[in-house]
Amino acid sequence: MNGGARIAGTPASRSSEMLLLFSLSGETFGITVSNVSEVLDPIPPTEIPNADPFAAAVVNVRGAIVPLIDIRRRLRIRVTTEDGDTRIVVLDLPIGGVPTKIAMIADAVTKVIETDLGALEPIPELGARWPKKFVEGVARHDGDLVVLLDPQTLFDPDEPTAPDMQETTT
Amino acid sequence: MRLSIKTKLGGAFGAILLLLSALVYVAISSLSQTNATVDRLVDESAEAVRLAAAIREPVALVFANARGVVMSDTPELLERRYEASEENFAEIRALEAELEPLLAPQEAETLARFRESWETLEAHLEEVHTLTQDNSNVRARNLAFERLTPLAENIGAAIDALDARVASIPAIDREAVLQIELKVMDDLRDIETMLLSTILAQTDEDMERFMAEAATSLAEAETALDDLQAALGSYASRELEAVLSAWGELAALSGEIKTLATERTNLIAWDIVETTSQPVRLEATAAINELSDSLKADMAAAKAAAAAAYGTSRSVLIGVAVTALLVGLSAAAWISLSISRGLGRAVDVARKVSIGDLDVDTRHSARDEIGDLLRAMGEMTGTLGKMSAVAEAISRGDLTVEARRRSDADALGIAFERMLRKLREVVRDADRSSDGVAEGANAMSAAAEQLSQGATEQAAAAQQASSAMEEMVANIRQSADNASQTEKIATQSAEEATKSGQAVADAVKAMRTIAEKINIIQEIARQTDLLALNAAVEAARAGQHGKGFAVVASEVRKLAERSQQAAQEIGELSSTTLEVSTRAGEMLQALVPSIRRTSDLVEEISAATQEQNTGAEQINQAIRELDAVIQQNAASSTEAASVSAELATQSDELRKVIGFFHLEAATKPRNSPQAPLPASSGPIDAVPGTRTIPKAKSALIPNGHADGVELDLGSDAEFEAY
Repeated sequence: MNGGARIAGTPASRSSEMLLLFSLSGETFGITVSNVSEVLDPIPPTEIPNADPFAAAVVNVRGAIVPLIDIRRRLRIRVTTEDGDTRIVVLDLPIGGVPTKIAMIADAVTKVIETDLGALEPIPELGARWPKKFVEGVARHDGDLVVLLDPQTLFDPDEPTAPDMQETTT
Repeated sequence: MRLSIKTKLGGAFGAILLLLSALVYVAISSLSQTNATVDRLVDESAEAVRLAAAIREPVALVFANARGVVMSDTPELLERRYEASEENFAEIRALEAELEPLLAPQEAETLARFRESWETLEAHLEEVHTLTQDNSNVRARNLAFERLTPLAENIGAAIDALDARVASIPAIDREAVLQIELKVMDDLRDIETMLLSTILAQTDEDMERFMAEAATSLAEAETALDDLQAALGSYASRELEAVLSAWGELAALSGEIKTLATERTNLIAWDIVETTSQPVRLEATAAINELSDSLKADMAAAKAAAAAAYGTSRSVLIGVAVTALLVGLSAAAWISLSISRGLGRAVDVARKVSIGDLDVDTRHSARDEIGDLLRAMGEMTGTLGKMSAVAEAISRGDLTVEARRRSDADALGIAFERMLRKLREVVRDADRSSDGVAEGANAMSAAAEQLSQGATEQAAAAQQASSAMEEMVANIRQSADNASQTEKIATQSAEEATKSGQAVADAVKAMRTIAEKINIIQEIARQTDLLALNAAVEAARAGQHGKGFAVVASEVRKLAERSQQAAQEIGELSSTTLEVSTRAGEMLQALVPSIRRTSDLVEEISAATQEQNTGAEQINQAIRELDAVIQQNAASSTEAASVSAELATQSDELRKVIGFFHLEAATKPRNSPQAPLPASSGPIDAVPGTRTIPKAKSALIPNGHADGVELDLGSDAEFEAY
């Protein structure tokens, strides 16, 4: 099924794609629905001592231990406190060829939209805040810009982690 | 003539004293006579007897000493004994000198005889002394013992030496020589013996004989010596020479002894003592014995004379004493009888006077001190009678009489004077005082009336005060009622406010519950929203097949969002309501204490009003008591008026009583009795416009009086006793 979705999402056949929109620090990001397993209310994480800051904690999702990834570090986005809209998005990703459940924190999960991937625009070279490799492009939706993230790179554990943003931004 | 007790006693005692002095005179004279006799007996006769006896002793001693003088061996002894005899003579002389004045003439003659004898004796002693001092016998004896015997021994020794010499010379006829020598020795012993006998011979014949024999022996010895010389011839001439020379000494000594022996002084002296002095001594002793006897006879005579004198004087003394006794007894009987009779009279009179009988008879015939005493008692009864007359006048009320003291020691008289003076003063003062009392009674009556009037006015004022108080009490009671109502209302308000507060609190609670519930709804809406999202995700993942479901999910999401929004709005509204109602509750809570405080204050006001009511009641009570006191005052003033009237009457009575005494001869008319007191007004009444004040405690205020207000006195039960 994932494979099918993945195939469906290939640029060749891409015409429209379902995106799950979520916001981080006021910015709207999008991720393809085919990679999403489910959306949950926040679960109290368990810190792992001496773990990589990229995956510092794990959460219990219906009995399965899932690493909790804080993508804001990689995206150099300021970490905001949890509120009533905070959600955990559980993803199903093939990492290293192995389908893996990964949890990530979102300030809010907005909706599911259908967008035309052909209308994707690259992010401008200048003034871009986010590392280019993590972003597939920018889509428009209702006058807003939606940053479409590339889950393959974003959740690659071998990617160098950006310096700790918390220390610099807060 | 006046024959007083003094005279009688003087006479009697004089007679007794005269007799007594006669007695004493006789006694003294006989005693002195006896004394003289005794003196003579003791001092002269006895002394003379003693002296006569004493003289005898030295006389005997003199003789003994004279003998001793003669027989003394040594001159010292002799001298001592001679001195002793001299002392004896001196003693005799002294005693004799003492004795001589004590003697009668014929006794003096005897003494002279004695003196003659002892003077002779003294001469003899002197002679003996002279002789003994010579002491030839003794010397001869000493010569014999001291020289004769050693000389004889020398001769013996010389003859022995000669014999020894002769023995060594054969030429000599030893036998013849020995014969001669024996003859010489025999002669020598004879001479010695004769010489000693000569010395010790008692008589002249013996001495002569012994001397002749001594001379014979001496001659024979010399012849023998001559024979010896012839026999010896020229041999042993030296030894012979010694014998001869010793013999020569013997011859010389024998001559000397003979001379001494012939003197014989001691013997002569002895002779004098033994023969010549002895009769003289006897004579002296006889004389002194005679003297002693004569003196003893004298003493016996003197004793007899003294005894006779004692007998005489005893009989004289007894006679005089008996006379004195008789005189004294008779005089004592006479005097004591007369005195006791007179004093008995006097005692009778005094007893009668002491029981007040002044009419006793005090006449007495005797003209002595008893008579004087009775007369004096008569005078005493007279003056006592005068005193009693004065007392009688005073008892009749006559104070004009005069009582004079008879002397400064007259205590009764002085007391009468003082009594009269005091009585006059007292009566005068009492008179004056009764006037004053009457005036005072009048004044008091007027004062009582005024007092009564004042009491009436006081009563009216008290009534007015009472009615005013009544009004005040009514006002106070109303205030109390209002206050208590207000208190009730305030309490109710407080309770209601509390309840309102409670209701608001309940409303707040309900609101809070609503808010919670809305939260649940919100949560449900959110969950629904999440579920719808997940459904959308699932639908999207289902691709084309999930399109319809996606629409549903989208609708569900929209509904959820709407419900969430509505819930949020409701929540906001409810929170606002909650806030408002909470504030309302707080305000109500704040209101409750204020209302409660108000209630408390109103309660206090109510209590104060109650106290005021009680106070007003007390004041009312006080006014009632005041009224009672006023009533009593009125009664008392009435009583005072009656008492003052009584006092006036009593003072009148007193005046009458005092009128009994007359102070002056012409009694001045007394002040006319005081104007009668105004009739005592009795119970005070008749102050116009006021009501009668009853004398006794009666109902204070009649009901329905115009001015008064009836005091409510019946509601004491609701007050506590203070």
